[in-house]
Parts: sequence; C-alpha cells; structure tokens
Amino acid sequence: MTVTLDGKTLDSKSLSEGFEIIHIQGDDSENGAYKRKVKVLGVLRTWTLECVESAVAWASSQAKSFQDTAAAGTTVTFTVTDEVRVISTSVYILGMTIDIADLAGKNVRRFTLTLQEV
Amino acid sequence: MVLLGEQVRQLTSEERLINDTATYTRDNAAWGTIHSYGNITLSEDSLVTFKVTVDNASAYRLKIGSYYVHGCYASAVYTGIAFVPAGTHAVVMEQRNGVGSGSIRLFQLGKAKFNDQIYSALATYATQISLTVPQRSPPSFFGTLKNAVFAVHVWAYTPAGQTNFENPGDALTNGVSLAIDGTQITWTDRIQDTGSLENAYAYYYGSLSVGSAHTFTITKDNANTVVHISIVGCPWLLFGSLNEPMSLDFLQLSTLYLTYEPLDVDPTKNSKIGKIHSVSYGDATDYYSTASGTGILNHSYTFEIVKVPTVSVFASGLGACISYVAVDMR
Repeated sequence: MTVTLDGKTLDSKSLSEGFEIIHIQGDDSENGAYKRKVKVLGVLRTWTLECVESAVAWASSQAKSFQDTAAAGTTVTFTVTDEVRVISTSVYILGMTIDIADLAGKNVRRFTLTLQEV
Repeated sequence: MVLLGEQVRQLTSEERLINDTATYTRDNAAWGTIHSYGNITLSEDSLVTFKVTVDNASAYRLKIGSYYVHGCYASAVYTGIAFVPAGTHAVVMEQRNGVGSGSIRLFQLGKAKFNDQIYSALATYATQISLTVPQRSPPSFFGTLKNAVFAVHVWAYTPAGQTNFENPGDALTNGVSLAIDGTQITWTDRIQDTGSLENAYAYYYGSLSVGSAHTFTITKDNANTVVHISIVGCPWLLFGSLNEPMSLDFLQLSTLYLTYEPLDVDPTKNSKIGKIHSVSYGDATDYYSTASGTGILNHSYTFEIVKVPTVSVFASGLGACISYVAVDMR
C-alpha cells in the first residue's frame, strides 16, 4: 500500500477509514401514523493514519510539515494505492499526535494523523 | 437544525468583460462595422450575456468571433445570451442603412455560469443537436432537479434574399423553423428579415425535463440559408411561463429560501410555492406562498402544515435566474 499526503510518500503502518452518513431526523405523520423521517444530507469520510519516520531532523520532518499545513487550514491531496482500491481526494488535516522514542540513539517519530475529506 | 445553501449562479466565474457607454454612429448602405468593442478571451465555453441600446431604426447585427448572435432593426434596448466557445473572439456591432442610419450606445457584455448547465456552443447549424441536463445523484439537500429552461438563440440569413422564422402553420419565404423532440415550436420572439437585409434573429425559451435527452432540429426551406445557433439548458434559468426547477424533499418545519436575480434582463420575477388545484380559483388558492418583483427577489416559506413533497416551486421571469437555494432544516 502506497500512501501520499501533500505529495509526500508516508511510511504508513496503519490506516483506518470512517464513513459517516450525515443526516437529520424529524417527527412527522403519514396516513395517520407517526413517522420518524430521515433526511440524508451527505457523506463524511475521515481517515486515521499512523506513520513513522526515523532519524529525520525536525526541520525536515513530515510531521512538522503537516502541522504547519494543518495550522494554515489549507487542503492537501491524499492518495492511497493498493491492489484493490485507489483513494484520491483532497483533505483537511484536523489533528495529529506525535510519539517520540530514542531507540539506540536513533530518533524515531511515530505520528498519527486525523484527516477529513473536503 | 442545519442551514444548507447553494449558490447555483457561480459568481466567482462571472465577469463583465465590456462596458462601453459611448455612442457610435454610422451611415452606410452596405454592411460594415459601426463599432468594434475589442476582443474577449474565454478560458472555457461560456454563457455570454449582452445588452445594447439602439437609438436609430436601422439594420444591426452583433458578431462574436465568426458567428452572429443577434440582429435587429427597431430602436430599443436589446439584451440576449449566447453560449460561446472558449478562445479569443472579436466583438463587433455591424450596421447597414436599409431603414435609416445607425446609432448605438450603452453596450455591455459579460459571462456567467450556473450549476447544472448544459449547452451547445455557438456554431453554424449542421445537424440535429441532442442535450441532456443530468439529474443530481445523490439528491441535493432540497431534493432533486425536475425541469430545466432551455434557451435557443438563432441568427440566420439568406444570401441576397429575405429570411423568416416560421411558427407552426406559417409558410414564409426562406423559412427557418425549430422542432424540439420532433414537434415544431412557436418562437418566443422573432425579428424577420422581410427587407432582404441578410439579418434575421429569433429565440425560443421552454421548459424540458431533467435527465432525458432532448433533440433540437432546425429546418430550412432554402439550403443556402445560413443559421448560427447556440443552446443552453439549466434549471436555474427563468422564462416567461412557470418552470418547476426542482422536486422538494426535506423534513417538515424546514424553511426554503430562494433568491432571484436579473441575468440579461431585469423582468418581474414570480415565485410560487404550491400546486394548481383540481379547480383553480387563481394564485391565491393554488399557492401557499408567492413573491413577485424586479431586482433581487427573496422568497422564503416554512413548511409547518403543508407537506413538503406534495407541492413544488414554480418560477418565471424571462431573462432572469435563480441565484441561491437554501433550506433551514429543523
């Protein structure tokens, strides 16, 4: 599986996708019977992406680059390519957590991105 | 509770390209340029709108690039639309005396764009044109599309002869007729070239279903008659009769908002929510809410008792459009 975000190829360890039907509900009556009507407004796709980078200076870090992009509120391209499916869309970066470990003197950075489709 | 709105008239793509208030005159028995308004450059095929004031009765025709989009004789304010291909085109008003010398002023030309618009770009008519306004899938927050207004603008001439646009039953010299889906239509307006000045113009506006293919066929009595044609179809355009642009589908207690604006004309726009009943006693009993006016017209209605899917929106106003649709959903 090849994953890119904002044109950068990520060392992705896991990817989960959310698919939410955005809707509202309202009370109504139909032929004398109570109905709870549903109006579907659209679909919201989100992704959680766990990535790793190792021995990369912070100034050159993908994590830092995505933090800067997220703070600016700009949208970025997001692609996932595997044997059975291709995702290609634009996303907002809505959040990120970073776990840092010093393994044998080598800086290992694990970061988790929260993405939402534009 | 959520308010969803859509700007169906894409103002970001809209631009006034020419605004020339000057008066231009010409006195010549042969066709020639009364004024060249320069070039316009269109990055994509575009809906072009124009407006010009003709002060003297004479023969005039408006040319964009290689094709004519309008022709007239009487002094009046003329407006119109044409769907023009991408590229750089010269915009020229031509004149010949025929009935008098020429004088024009207050020329404006711009481009506009709508969601859900389809078109056949300005060209010489050669063969039957087929157009389909696609249905939205999935449906939108307001429901689905129902009927689109199609505007057919045609300019024609016959070398060294007169040209006449024919309605059903007419038998005119060098006739030009239009059939939609195989049935001849009555032109909404026509300017005949009875003086053989090589300049005839007509247009047709009508309502046709969304999601179906519609054919447009020009028939010419004289094979030498040349026809320049452009067609645009869009649910958000208005014409002289009521069009039903959408089928409503949202929850009870929601409020529907509609905003109407001038396009090439600022007519009285009519917006009606309801349905003609089995025996009609007029708008007051057929429609639960109406709005009417010139300029920018806002119309809203909250569906407290009236059931949303059982009624619809009906709108008219030749030369105007719907610009915004919104629903405040409860």
